[in-house]
Amino acid sequence: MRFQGIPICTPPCQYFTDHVPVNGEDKRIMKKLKQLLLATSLCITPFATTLADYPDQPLRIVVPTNAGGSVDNLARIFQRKIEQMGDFPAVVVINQPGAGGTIGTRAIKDAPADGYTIGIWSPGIITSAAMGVVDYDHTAFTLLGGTGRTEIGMGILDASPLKDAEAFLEKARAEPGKVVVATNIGLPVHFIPMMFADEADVDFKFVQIGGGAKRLASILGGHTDTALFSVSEFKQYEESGLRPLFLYATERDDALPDTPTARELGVDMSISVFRVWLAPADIGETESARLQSILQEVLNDEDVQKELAGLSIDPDWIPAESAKDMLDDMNARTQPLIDAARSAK
Amino acid sequence: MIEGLLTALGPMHLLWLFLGVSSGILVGAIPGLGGGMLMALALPLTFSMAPVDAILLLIGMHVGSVSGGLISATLLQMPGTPSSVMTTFDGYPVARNGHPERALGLGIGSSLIGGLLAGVALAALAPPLSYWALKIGPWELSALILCALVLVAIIAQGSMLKGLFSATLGIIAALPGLAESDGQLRYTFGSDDMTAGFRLLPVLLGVFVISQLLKESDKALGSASVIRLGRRFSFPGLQDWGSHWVNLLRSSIIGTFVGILPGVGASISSMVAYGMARTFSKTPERFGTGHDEGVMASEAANNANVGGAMIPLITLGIPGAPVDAILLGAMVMHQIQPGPLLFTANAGLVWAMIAGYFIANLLMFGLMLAGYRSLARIITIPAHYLVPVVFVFCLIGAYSIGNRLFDVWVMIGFGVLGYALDKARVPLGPFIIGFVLATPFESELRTALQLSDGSLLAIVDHPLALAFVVLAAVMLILPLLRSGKGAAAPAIAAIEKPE
Amino acid sequence: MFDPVGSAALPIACAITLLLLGAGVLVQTRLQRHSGQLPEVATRGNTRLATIALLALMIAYLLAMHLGIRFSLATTGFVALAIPLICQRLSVLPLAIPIAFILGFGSEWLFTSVFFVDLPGTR
Repeated sequence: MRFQGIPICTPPCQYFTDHVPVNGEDKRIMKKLKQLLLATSLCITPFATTLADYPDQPLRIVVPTNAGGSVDNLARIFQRKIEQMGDFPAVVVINQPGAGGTIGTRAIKDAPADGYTIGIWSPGIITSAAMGVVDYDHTAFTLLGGTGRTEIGMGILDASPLKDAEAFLEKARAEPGKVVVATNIGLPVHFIPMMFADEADVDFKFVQIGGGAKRLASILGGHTDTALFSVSEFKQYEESGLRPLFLYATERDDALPDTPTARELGVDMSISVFRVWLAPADIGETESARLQSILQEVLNDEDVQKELAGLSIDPDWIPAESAKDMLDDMNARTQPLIDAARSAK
Repeated sequence: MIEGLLTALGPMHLLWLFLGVSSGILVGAIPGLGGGMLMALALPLTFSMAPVDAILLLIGMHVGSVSGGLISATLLQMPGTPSSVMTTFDGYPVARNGHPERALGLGIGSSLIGGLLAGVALAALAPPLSYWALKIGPWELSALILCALVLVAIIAQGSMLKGLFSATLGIIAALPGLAESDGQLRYTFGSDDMTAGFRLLPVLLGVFVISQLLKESDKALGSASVIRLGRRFSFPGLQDWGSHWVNLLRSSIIGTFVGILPGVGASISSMVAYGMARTFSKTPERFGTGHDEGVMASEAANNANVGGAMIPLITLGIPGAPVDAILLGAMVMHQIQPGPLLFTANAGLVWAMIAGYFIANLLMFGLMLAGYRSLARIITIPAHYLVPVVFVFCLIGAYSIGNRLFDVWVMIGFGVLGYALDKARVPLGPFIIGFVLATPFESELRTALQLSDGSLLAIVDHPLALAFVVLAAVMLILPLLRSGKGAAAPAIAAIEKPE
Repeated sequence: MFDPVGSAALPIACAITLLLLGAGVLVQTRLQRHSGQLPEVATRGNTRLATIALLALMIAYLLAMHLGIRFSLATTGFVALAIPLICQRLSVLPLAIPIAFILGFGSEWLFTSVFFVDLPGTR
């Protein structure tokens, strides 16, 4: 299984202005100015009339989880910045949790395609379709792009006698079905270790534990052996007793220089996850372009970059085409595993 | 520590705390609206606040909303928040018997005691407790939930068959949707809306509030204000608290402990505490008829749960409940990383949080104490004003959990079901207990069996789980032995009480 | 085959339990009725027509919002009709209508313009 190269963002293009946060009167003038700029630049297109008004309503960001999770936090970093930028009169995060995020993704898919409802979700959009929970995948949306790309890997209790990744792999090979992986069945945290097991030719025992907090508690309590975590989680829970074994990255991560990659262990598999920005399929091109440039502009902000760096999240913007390639790749690698993932019955 | 206390006592910080507590009580008291909704709405506001203020505001909201729920549970038999379900069983009968002030007083006082005792655990024992709680795995959890399920049989005594029937219906209502143990859908009948199953809030509002609204409108005209308020000040005296200290302490410990466990909600803690209180009570037959011990167990446990859930949050960065995830989110957004390092890296903040939690409980007590005599008058509002207004708030609450009218239909459907069950004299308490416990019990047990490759005998490797199972058996058998001696318990009277 | 229990175990167990319990409840009620323990006349009273009308009004209220009528209007209508319906006197209308207006338009303003929460029919 080869990892498809992901063209990580070229220097972000500056669409409109180098934006500095401005308040009050200035903001309104800036907004008028931007609208004017936009209107003139698009006079040549037949869509000029519809665009003159856009955006003049609040922007809704649908988050398919409860408030407080990592996706929600990322969405709220964007919420705060977009609101400061002043393009939209208000920016609202709407939490629509349930059924592995599919209540939320369906709400995004079925929202009016007027450019005022967008959403953010994970590669779970692929796995939910693979499990048959929904009958649509990422192709049912207009992909605006991706953010928050992060390396992921397997973690273990720090006090575990397995000293390093080699020892872990040795044990997994010596005792098939004995290494217990804490997962949330049918989501990326289940499929990605499955891909690894497939490539490394080992036999893990997958056990349903639940969401991120429960998986972590399960590892720390010694009830299960290992689970998938992101680099930011590894950093976050280092002191709580979580130790990274190896990452599914192409090369070592700056934040965890001592953690090897799967490739170094001789397992030719790499994958990273990110958050994908979704809009309803029928969204107009102008609205879509505008949203993309706004989202991208958020990442140019120094404060946002600092905040993301604090969370060990890659501050680069993933253009829509690359995001689609990554999801297509995820899809291609998920398909062969569907039978095994559904075999619980 | 003293520094943290001083921080939390700063006038500006106190103001935010006060705002949080008062808005929490208000929202908690309105059936349909809850602390989770309030905190999610306040989250964007907290971004522009100082970190300490933001966290104190949210803590205040959490403490306030859990406590506020007892007001409508006690006075209207409608749980204001899911965690106050058990309070309706005994709080409402006390109020109904003409002592709404006493009923509120019991709830408010027990909330304070529960909250403060959990605060002591939070301040003194947080790190060892949270590490110990990590040892609670799927076996232990499923056995613990079994204890709570046994409660169904206990409180349904007298009409045991109907109680169990109701509980089974509740479990069935919890089945549809995505079964997390194997990641597949079941019983969704091809409906997209059903993929998330029936949510707790619409079901709870339906069974306990909408059915109640329909019943209210059933009553003969003018009978809505039959309750006369007691004439003298009747806040429970020292003697009342003193004679129940064992129950209060036990319920607070249960509440704190259940709060520490991730993924086990506040409503379960009050269910377990109520069941334990009944099992070890000298007068178990009075539970459900307006017994002080029942109110105390439920309210002490659900407030202790708030403090308990902060323990793993502060020490490990693991939220004990969904609401704590919001608190965690607010901290992360302010670049504060909860975990073992927090105590050394940001001790001031930790102590400010703990002190804030204590002060929030005191503020809650003060506010409720100041208002409880006038609050008690809610009970005299004529039904024809109360019913439509409460329905509108329930509709907003049910709609806003997922922006779907589907949840509102679910609420009405379960309202009709609750009304019909009530007419057939089937108690509703066991229904909601079955509904709440079914999902965690099934998933934890299935996880345990996934770990042991299907062997139930693996439980012998988990002594604590075995102990819980034995406790469940004691809870089941002890009341049976007692009732064999004569004192036959009346049917659960909270719901079945004749009008 | 990693999940030995499967999703069907609990539902089947519940269905069987429910059938048994249902039969048990029926038999118990019969026996009690025969032995005269249970009075024929239910003490709880019968469902009033007003209750059925209230339920119908609740359903109509929801249907209205399904059809896209704004929350504020639907709520005003519902509350203004429900209050006199429940107490069965038209004399409460002077108080019912202002309550309905305040609740309908007040809560819509509060939730949609202050908190930016969607209410049914506001999108």
